[in-house]
Amino acid sequence: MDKKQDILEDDKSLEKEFPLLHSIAKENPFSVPEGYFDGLSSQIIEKCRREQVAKSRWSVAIEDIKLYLLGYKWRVLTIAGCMAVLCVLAIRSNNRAVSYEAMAQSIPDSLIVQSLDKNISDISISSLEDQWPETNASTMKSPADSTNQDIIAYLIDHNVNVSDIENEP
Amino acid sequence: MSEEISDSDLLEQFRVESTRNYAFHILVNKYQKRVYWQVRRIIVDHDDANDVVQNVFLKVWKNLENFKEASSLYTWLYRIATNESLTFLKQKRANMYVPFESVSRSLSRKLEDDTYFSGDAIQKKLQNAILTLPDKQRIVFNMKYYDNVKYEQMSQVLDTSVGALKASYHHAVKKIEAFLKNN
Repeated sequence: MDKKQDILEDDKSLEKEFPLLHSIAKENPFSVPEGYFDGLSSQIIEKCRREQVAKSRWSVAIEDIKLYLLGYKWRVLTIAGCMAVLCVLAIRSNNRAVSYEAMAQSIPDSLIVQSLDKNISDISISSLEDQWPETNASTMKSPADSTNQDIIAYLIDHNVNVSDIENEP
Repeated sequence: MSEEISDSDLLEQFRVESTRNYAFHILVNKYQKRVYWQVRRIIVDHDDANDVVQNVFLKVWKNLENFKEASSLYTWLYRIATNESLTFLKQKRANMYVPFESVSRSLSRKLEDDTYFSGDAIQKKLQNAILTLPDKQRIVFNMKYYDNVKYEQMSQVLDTSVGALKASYHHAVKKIEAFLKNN
């Protein structure tokens, strides 16, 4: 078969085996408009130029979009970062409040009263000693324990006029 | 003048930015006719062939810098031209939603109305016979019959073995002879 096909390349063989095809002249039956090939190269080069311009416009546009997206990305990241910090702070303060409450609930009332008593007496003694150094803390009485005589003695000691007290609203 | 510059010189000049446009201009002038006729025989219609040829050279412009010279420049151009023509017919077929026979008939009708057909009645008959062939067989026949392209070169262009091309040409000639006898 290869031999037969090879022979096809030979015009004599073509004439024998395919006489009708061989009888037709081997010429190009197509034609083109006049001067077509004179202008074709210019058309092609113009098309390539336009394509190049369009491509460069696209590349500029793509660069712009890239820059915008980059800026947008940074903006989004900054906002997300701020929100994350705020969330962390909120969670931490919430946890602290909860822990103080929980701690307070776990302490028995008697211990709190005892602690307050101790602290109040500490503050009273120190503050009194600061203000009245000559006063003996051990002799101090609470207002409920003071008699009228004690009050009068205090007023006399501090030169307080009774009429001043009476004139007070 | 363009015939004087060898393909390797053209490629060298194309790769240099300052001489790129000049080299491409020479290349187009050198090959435009051969590429056009290759496309025209497949597409038949002049206006369609004109569009396809412009696309072929646009592709050449975009890819020539990366051309590895594994084959000759003309073989590469021939390959691009053939593929672009086949793609055009495929798109046409897809747009028409019709099988191969109908596109073949549509090309035959174009041939009947073609202002740029200068052949006689027997030439028209031969062209109608060629249009009955499947696309690839038609390309093989045209390349061998009109351009006398060597099977080895055709093999590079169409990415098909030499044996398959010879068989394809043989079938094509037989079909054409039968068409000429029966019509």
